Amino acid sequence: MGSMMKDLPENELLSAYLDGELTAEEQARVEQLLAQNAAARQLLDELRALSATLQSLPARKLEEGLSGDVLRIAERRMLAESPEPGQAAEPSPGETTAETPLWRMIVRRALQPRNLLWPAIAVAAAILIMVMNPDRRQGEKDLAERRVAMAPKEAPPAGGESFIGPLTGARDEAAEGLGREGALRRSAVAETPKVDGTMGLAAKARSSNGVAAGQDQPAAPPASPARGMGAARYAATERAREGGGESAPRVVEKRLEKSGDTADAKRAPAPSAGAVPGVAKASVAQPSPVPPGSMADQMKVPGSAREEERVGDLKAGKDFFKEGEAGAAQSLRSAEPMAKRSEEPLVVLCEVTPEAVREHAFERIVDFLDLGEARRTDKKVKAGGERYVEVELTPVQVDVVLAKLESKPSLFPRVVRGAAMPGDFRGKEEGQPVVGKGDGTTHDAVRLQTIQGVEGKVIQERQQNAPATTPGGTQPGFQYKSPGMGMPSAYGAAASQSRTPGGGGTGTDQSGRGAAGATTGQFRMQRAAPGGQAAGAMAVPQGVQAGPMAAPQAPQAAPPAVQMEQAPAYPAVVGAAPGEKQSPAQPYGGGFGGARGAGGAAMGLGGMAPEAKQAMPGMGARAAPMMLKAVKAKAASPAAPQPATESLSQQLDQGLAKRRVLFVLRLAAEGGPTDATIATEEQAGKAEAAKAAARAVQAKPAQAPAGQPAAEPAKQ
Amino acid sequence: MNDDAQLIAETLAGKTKAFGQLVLKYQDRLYNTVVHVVGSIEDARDAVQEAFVQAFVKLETFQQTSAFYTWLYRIAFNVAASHCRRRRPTVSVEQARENTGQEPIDGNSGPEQRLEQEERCRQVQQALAALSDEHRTVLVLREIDGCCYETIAEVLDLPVGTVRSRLHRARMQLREQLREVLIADD
Repeated sequence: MGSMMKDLPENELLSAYLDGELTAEEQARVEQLLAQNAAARQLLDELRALSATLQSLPARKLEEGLSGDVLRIAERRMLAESPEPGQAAEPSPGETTAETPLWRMIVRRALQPRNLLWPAIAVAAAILIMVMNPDRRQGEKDLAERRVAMAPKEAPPAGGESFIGPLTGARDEAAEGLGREGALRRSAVAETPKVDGTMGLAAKARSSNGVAAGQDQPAAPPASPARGMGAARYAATERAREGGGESAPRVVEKRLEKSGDTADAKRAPAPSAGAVPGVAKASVAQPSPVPPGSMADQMKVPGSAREEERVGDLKAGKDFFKEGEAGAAQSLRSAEPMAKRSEEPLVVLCEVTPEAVREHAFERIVDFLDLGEARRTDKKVKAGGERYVEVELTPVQVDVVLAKLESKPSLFPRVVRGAAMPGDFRGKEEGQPVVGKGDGTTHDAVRLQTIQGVEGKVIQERQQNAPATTPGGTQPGFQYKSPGMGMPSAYGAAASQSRTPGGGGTGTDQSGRGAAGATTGQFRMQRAAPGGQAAGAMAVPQGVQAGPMAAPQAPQAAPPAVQMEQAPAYPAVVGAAPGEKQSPAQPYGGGFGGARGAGGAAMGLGGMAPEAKQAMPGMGARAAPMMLKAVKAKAASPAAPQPATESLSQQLDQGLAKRRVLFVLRLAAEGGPTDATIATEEQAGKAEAAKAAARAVQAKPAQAPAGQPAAEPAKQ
Repeated sequence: MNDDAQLIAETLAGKTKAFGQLVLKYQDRLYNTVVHVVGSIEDARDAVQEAFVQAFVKLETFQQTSAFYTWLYRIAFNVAASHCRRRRPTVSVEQARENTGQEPIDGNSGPEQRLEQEERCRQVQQALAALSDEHRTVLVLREIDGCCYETIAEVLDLPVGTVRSRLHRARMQLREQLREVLIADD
């Protein structure tokens, strides 16, 4: 009791006694204390009064109900804080005892943007290192040396700036030649000719593809042919005109003249509809795949005059790309990624001298570049023969190889990028068993395996990333799964093409290969023609009857050209073989898939013959209408959404994915075959002209009125 | 199943109006308690509203091992505690009056008595505001809201013995501050 009294102010039992929160024993003790101690009683009274005072405080009420606000705010918050994957609910202050799992916290932290920054930077650095590899630098250096040797002081820098890689926009700026920074660089580069040459020829090497593509679209207005021409070439031409110097393209032109290309172009009577005139330079060295009198030869008639005129314009330096400056840059931008996307190999015609054959110069280049095991045919280079070397290269490697080849004109007098697919190679490859394999494996199968191995993942990823699937499964810019085929159309078309002998146009969906498969497979179309005629023109066979099937309905290819403009996927092709067209209306981003889709649609409608429909049930017949429907729907919406920014993997894919490159090694005659060719053909041309004049003179008397002296022709 | 449990079940079933009934049922009681804890009618309103919102959002986590009111108080006092940490009010006499608004004095009393009541309320509120948060909270829950020790311990997540000792100390501190008032009342 004494201790309780002593600690009375600290004794919490009185407070608890007041609240009735004591046990019976405690309550008995407190009551005993209160009975014996007046101070305890006084304290208890004060506590009781205090409690009464507090409880007498007026009660407060809310003036309005909170339920409306509470429910509204709560619902809004629940929507805003809707549970996200990996986000654990915040622990409730009450019974919420569930703690956030550790893995969720880790994932949440790992996905924070700041934690993704450094890995992204590391990946970007790795890409830069891979793109700017020493081999490529070496190749450009060789190019520079050769450029300096060929285009001495008067030639201004052509390319302006070396491209860093297919992912950079440096060459865009170089091609346009408009950027201030680029001008400064050029001025600085002009003091270092080697670098200058590197840039010029690096751009030229790429521009040669553009030369081959689409500059002669008969049905297309000349507003945008620059897109089909190498932009660097165009830009350099512009600069040359402005500066009065000889541009690098002019130098290239001189080389071509020397080698007989332009002479051929000048003499070319009328480029066939199948042989794209823009490709004339590249293809003229090849034996014409179209025999005289073939259907394709007949098809050349409508556009021949225009094409010839255009070739003449080219010769005269007339630049009808003036309006297409922007298009030039677009073409350049679009060149490389498109190349690697193509299932068709980029054909590079390379004339080799006997010395090069003896020294194995080409093999040494391949070995030097460490391109891996090249797939080579067993055909030997011999007089009049060819040898094919097929490799898979990235766009940068293509440039490097071409630069290497072009840097050794004594060994490789002519290097034509974007040449025609050699017919005998095609014929050998398709449907023929692989030599040495006794299991009946065909070249097609090997080829498909190669393609699928390299690009299968890419296409699969693209399909997975496809934003939506249009009705019928058509995905503009993406692969279309062919009905009835077990593989994406690109491959399905390739496979089916070989099974469609003389089908007259399979009309595949996207690849367009089936469209060119209108023939017996000698030619394949890679591009859709914008103007319409090209649709038929592209299907030019090697003397087979497919041309007329495709040509009459070719104007229906126009809608796909619109599609090509809006196609989001991948840009234009680089090397265009004869029979290929690059749409003049195809801007940057006018994609590969779109082009292919357009081509497929075009041929599906225009180039598909009833025979082909029967031969290919479920392929073109179904694919083409669906594709066209998608094309029309896309063209009808002016604000067609462009695809989102490509993912990192897609960018990587664009820069690093390989494409097939087929080197056609053709033995050149000793002592400069081109000169001999020029001389021979010039003589032949003169003889032909003399004969024509004679025929005209002989025909004139027949038309003369009666009574004219019959000896008149003799005088003439 | 009591009324609260029924309303909670309906709310979880998607009938949000049931939760509105819970709000109407407890909002004034909770507000009257919280306003003495935070010392401001506006802050008290916000704290009560936020407590109801959080209760609604996290109602699925309520395991109903205790009364809904206890769970709601815990949320409210956590909110109030957070609010007090963010903005500790400097309480003066006038400010205490402003914070608590006009005193709802009995209208039947005369002007003089009304003034005395107002003055006493002001002093009590000032004394309460002078207490520490932990003592004030315990005292308010006990004297204003009438919670038992066990409920207070549950709401504040404290042992019952701690609640008893804190409550006694809070009373002793308030007794010292209100000695004159208490003497005058006597």
